[in-house]
Amino acid sequence: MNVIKKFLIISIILAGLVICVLLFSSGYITIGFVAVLIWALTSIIVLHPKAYPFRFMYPGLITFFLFMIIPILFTVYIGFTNLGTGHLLSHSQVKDILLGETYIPDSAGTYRYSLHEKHNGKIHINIRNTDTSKVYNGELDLANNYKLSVRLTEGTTDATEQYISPGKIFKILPILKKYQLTMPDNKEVLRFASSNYLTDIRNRYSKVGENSLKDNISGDIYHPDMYIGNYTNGRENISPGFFINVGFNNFIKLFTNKRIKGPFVKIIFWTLAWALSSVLLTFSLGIFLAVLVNGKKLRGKFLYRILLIIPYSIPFFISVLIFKGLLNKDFGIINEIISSSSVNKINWLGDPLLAKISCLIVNLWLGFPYMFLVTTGILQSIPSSVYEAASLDGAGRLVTFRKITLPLIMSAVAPLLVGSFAFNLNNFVGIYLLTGGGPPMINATTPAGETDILISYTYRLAFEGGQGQDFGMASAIALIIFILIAVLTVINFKLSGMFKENTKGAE
Amino acid sequence: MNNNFKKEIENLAKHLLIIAILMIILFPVVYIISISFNATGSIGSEIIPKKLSLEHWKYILGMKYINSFSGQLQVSNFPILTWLFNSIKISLITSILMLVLSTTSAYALSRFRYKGRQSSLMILMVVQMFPNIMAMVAFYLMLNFLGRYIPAIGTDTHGGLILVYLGGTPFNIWLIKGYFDTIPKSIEESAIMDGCSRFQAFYKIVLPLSTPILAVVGLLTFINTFSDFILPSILLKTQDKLTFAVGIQIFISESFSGRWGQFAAACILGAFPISTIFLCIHKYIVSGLTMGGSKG
Repeated sequence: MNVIKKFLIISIILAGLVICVLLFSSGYITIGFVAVLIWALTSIIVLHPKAYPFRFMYPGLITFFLFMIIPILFTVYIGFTNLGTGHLLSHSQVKDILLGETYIPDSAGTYRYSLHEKHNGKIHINIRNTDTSKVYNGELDLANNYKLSVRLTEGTTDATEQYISPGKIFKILPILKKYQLTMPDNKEVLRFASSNYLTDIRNRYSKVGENSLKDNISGDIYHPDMYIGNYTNGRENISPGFFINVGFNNFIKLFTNKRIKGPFVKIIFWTLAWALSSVLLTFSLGIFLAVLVNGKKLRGKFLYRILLIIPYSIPFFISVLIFKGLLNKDFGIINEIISSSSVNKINWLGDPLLAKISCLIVNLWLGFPYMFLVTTGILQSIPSSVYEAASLDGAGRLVTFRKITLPLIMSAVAPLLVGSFAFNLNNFVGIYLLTGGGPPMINATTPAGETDILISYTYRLAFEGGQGQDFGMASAIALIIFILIAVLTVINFKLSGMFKENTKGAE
Repeated sequence: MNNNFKKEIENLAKHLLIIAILMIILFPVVYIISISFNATGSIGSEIIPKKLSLEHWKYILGMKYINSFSGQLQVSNFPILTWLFNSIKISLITSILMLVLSTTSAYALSRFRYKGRQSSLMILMVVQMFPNIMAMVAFYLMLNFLGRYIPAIGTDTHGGLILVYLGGTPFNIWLIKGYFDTIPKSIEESAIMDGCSRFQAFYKIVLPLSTPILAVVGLLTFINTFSDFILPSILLKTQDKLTFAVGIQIFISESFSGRWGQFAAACILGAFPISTIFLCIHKYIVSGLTMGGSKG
């Protein structure tokens, strides 16, 4: 039993090694590298007795590594490139594509052709120039993949062998398209254009020197420009471009380019203002309701509590979409209630300031129950003797709240407020599903809107059409969010001392 | 006596205030329920319907309904039920796999003492602060790339989406580890003395003892996955593969005025199960949330 087990383990490890080697030898360097890492990790964990605890952690570790750590590192990498529409491929891929591009010169003649099966299995091609009626002959050997260039000879008569039907030609057309047929006078090189025509199809670009390309139409030389990621002749660029490492360019653009910087700074400020006001508003309403509902002799507390947290129980995306309908300028029920006349409708989601206020109100509706629940919990844990002592000392209700309840709640709730702040910084649904980030900012060259927060801006740069996808810039902004969250995390740990307690408590 | 009377008045005032606030807060909920049964059911319809009808419900349930414009019987061409089913499927698989991945890790972190444990805990603690949507571009490009070699986990597949969600184990590991720490080790140790293996001790003793936290983590993961919008909207493309969140957003965004009634019915259908689960476990959720951040 044990022998079989060991044999199995060893063969699996060997198989993994083979896969890694295969990946490397077929040129998948990145994926191969990840595979080797996973393979090494697996082997150590399976073989080393000291790694026993990691056998339990292994499945969790792998997904955590593949779908958390690698994406984060990858985001960092993309943030320093110009990856995006027009720059999606690598340099060598673009070079291959350009070298494969073809054109038909104006002078090219058109030629009809027919194919005939020969007895030796080869194919006889019979070509007739449609203008001059001259006839040419050649021989194709489909079995031999390496003989793709064929010399034609001038002939006089048409072929007599068995015709190959157009249907069959259509089937083998992809293979035929690889052939180059050189005319006897060397002036034209014919290629298959369709199932009955040949024409002079030439390569648009040819290699010049190590890296440059020559445009065979204009004769211009194009060099790869490693700052913008395009082949260029100094005046114009060839599409598609390739992605390159642009260093800190994305960040420099964000903070110096006037057209980008203006909206971006506005978005940063709005993101912070949005998160801060969301926390303050939800917390205030939450604590107010908690104190109100948790009064000592209030009947129906339980029912009220459940009813109050209903907004929080509904998935956010549903509530936000409902509010989008309620706040609709032309038909929304809120405008119907406020004024029934069709003039003076309030443009809740279309006016820059009103849109921001609407977002905050909707988010207040979504978020106050969380604060209500949390503060309720804390209120219930405060012993009533504290209040009794206060009232004996003659403290009024407001004083009790300010001097006792609030400080007690604050000390317990501070890390949660920071957590809620961090959540709202990235509260994509609360913004995007309500306003779509809009209304659009005037004077912005990027798709920036008045209510856009950093994360919705990232999303729109990367995935909303219109002006093309800019993955590089989007990831650069994601990195800025990373930094913001990291700062918050440090603050939160300091506030709660949670990490210390949790790890020490377990020792 | 006077004092008592004052208190009564005050109590009444409190009730009235709470009820007034509740009326404002619950207005959207009540309104959307009413719209879903309203025969007109266009956006901006009155709060109390003049005529009741089930047409909107028939529409979203894929039954034959009467088209209000042409008056003909027809079936909706939006696969709303399929979206709901997709969402439930993805959320269910994600929560089950998430439980498998995080319980084993949590057990190791809670029971074993080894080199690197402290730093593992530290890394988990820090990483769980970063929501995975920040890496959305990376996810999209990674799945695009992976899909070329393994089509089952590329973009526009549920498999790929689930894998992306499974990266989010740290928060759950943290929650479950906290619970495991409260289970005395002596029970397992005596079982191991009796010839139980470590792994058997784990799934025959520790797991059954921690059903409450497993239920909470499982349901929380279900709710969060069900409610996620951004990742499926990036990763899924085909109409029949969309999740409820993305599908319903496209459905209503195309025509707010024309599909309001159907949308209302769909919202209730989608929100009801989640709402019910949430209201049942809200106490545990709060105690869990207070440990580590907020609803994400």
